[in-house]
Amino acid sequence: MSILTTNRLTKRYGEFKAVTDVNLDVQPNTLHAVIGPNGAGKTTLFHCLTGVQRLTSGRILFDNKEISKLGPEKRSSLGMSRSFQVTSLFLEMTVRENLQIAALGVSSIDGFRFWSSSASTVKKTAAAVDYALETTGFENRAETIAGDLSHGQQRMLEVGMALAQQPKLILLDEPTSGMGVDDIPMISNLVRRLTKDITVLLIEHNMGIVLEISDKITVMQLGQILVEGTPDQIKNDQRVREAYLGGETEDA
Amino acid sequence: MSLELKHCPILIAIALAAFLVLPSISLATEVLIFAIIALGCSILLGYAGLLSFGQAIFFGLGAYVASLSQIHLGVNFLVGLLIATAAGAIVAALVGALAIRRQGIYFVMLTLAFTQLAFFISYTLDEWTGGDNGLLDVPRNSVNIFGYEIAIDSSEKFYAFVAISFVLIFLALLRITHSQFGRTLLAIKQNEERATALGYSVKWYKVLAFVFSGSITAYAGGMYALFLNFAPLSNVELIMSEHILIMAIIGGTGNVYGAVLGSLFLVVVGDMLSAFWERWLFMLGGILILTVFYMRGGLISGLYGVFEFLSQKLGSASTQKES
Amino acid sequence: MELFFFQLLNGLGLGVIYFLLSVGLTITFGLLNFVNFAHGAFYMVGAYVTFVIVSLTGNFWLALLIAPLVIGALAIALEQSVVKFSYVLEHKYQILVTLGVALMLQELVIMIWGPIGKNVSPPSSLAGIIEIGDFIYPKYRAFVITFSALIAIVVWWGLEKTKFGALVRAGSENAQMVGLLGVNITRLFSITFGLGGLLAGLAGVLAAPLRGADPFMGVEALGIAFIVVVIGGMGSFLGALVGGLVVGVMQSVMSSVWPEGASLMVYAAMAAVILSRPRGLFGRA
Repeated sequence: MSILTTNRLTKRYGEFKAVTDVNLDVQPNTLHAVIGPNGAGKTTLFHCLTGVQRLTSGRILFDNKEISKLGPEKRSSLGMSRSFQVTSLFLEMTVRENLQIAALGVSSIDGFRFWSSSASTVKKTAAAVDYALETTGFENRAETIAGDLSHGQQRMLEVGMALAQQPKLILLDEPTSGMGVDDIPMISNLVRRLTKDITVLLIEHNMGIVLEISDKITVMQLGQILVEGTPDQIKNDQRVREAYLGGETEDA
Repeated sequence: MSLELKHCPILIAIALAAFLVLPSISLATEVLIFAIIALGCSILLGYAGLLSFGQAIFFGLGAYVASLSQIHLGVNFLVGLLIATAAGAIVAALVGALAIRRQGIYFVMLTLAFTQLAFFISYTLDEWTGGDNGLLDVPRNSVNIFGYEIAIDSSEKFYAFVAISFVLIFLALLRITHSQFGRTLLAIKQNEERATALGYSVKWYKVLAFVFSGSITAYAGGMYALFLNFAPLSNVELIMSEHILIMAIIGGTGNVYGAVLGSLFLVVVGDMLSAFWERWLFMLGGILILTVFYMRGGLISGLYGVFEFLSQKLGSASTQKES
Repeated sequence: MELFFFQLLNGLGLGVIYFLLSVGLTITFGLLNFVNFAHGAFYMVGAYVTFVIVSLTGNFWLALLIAPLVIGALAIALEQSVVKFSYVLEHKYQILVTLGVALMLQELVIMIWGPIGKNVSPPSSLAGIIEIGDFIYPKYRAFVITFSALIAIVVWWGLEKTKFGALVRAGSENAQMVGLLGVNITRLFSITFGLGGLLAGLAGVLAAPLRGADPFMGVEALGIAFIVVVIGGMGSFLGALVGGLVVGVMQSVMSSVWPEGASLMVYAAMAAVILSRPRGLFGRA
């Protein structure tokens, strides 16, 4: 029983085909990674999954519900949360306040409560916020202003924001982007731990991390799926090597 | 409850002080009415981050509706003000819902266009609004409850009514800004993209902010018309929107008391200066520029800064004494 | 029919003035995404400088030559002393700063010349009417149409055929890129801002004999310029031209049909355009 499937998902910008006929199938409680060289269509695919971009054609099923036409704000209440590639936090608020706002986002009415104090409204988020604080290791820094955190810590909070929503599926957009080599294990360990409770769909550029922690990998090239398989299968696939070598020369 | 307990005495003290300290009762009335109007603007700008040139629409609408209700419907002044408030809420929801469909400079221009539309509509409907001459001789119909008649026929009574309105509206707005709704607005202002991704229907939060802002502005506009017994066309002019904005910004939009300071500054300084320097608005333009460059938190943040400085000085002085 | 044609010509005259008024606003917006709420004030001060020169020397042609230069210098001075410090700020603060500047200019004008408007008479050589068969038309208005059309061509030529114009157009596409090419983008902007002010001042000169000079014409002009720019599309020369003509003709024709509703209609049109076609007729994507 898959948690997220796409059926011939296609996104075109005018004449340009960014993503063509992608069939994705994500199993519950797994870490599924989508990788590919620059311009493979990963980011467009991610935008379609999160609802930031409308599909040109095809369907997205989440938890057996058709979500293709829902806006981004509708998807989180169904149990689908995301992180941002470029850190996107409420920088003037504390870590705890960031997580509280995140946790209340899944309810369609709590944010509108204008007559009771926010202290009483956020009470119901305590469990979710504590879970996120604990999982991301922010217990002792809960009252720090998000803007004062180091870059690595902000990346962790970025994932924490999605966790505080207690989702079934979490979509991570290059969670290690811009992180120093020393901080990367922090994130990869965290992501690996998450699959105990939830499903993770990871978009990543860093091949090393993906091979190390994923259960299943989808490799994209030129807007289409090139290969799909376990890390071992991907590691030894000739086509992937060619695509990546090609991709890397493009990068350089 | 604790919130109300803490702020209620401060607000009552402000209302009393305005009455006792300011040279005339009409000046004190005006300060409190414009404090409410500046507060309405702060909700949009300080909390939702929306720079709107549309406040004159709600101000003028409140004045016209309250006046017309007194003249044509003959309802008492309280009912008249409530009708004005409801009208303000409805029109604010409409204007807000349309304007927020665009962002940044286009949002600002839309609010500007709507104000101009409201002005020319008011001008054209001169049978109702009196056009250029304004709506003259607006009465204040008294309230009859169980045979008791409550009339606000003296300037003292009218001041008392405005002061009560001021305290209640400020308490209500304090509750709203300290609610989760207030916090969500701040979150949206800081990072709209993230708030949307987290599940917030940003559009409706902004519309609701418009509704709160528009309804209290219309209420205050209604009081202003009853105060003057007159609803001039200048209420819906673009320049009125500008003045309201400037008042809110100079006072400071991040704190409800900023609105009081802004109103106090514009109304009182304006009154004092205009006696011997009619073009004091020249100075206001300069102050607006300086505020943006050097004191973006407005007078209220300056005041807090002075308090902090003094308490530190006093604190260090007292510890020195002790040692 | 004749009346309609007369109003159409009047609208054309109004439209070319609106074009001169708006072109600077739209191009400075294109270049730095900067919205100048003091732009209308340049138009107003232009009309007042005309009033001063005409009442001192009696020579309108002198005003036509000098006043735009004065306004251009004023615009550059303001840009250097105040406006440029707001480029790093958010949009809303830029708006507030220029709003402050506009307020100061307006009050300054009232301090000097009083709140009541001043009349400016057209040059004696352009007094009277032209007769073409049965059709008669005021000479001065005919001059405004012809002269502004010439200026429009000069502005077009400047933007399309000169190196400066190429830089401005490239800067509108991608200011950062032009900056990387070693062009001093802030200087380019100052000059553009000054030229935009100059053209708004010129619009004020041409409008002065038609409607006089009064302190509140600046606010009115700013509203008009916004409508023109929104309808034509922000950042577009062609948009300012077509937008200006559309608004001018619409206002002029409407004012003979439903005078009270003329302004109502143009603002309604502006709101409708922003909502249905936010980039206007010719705006960039």
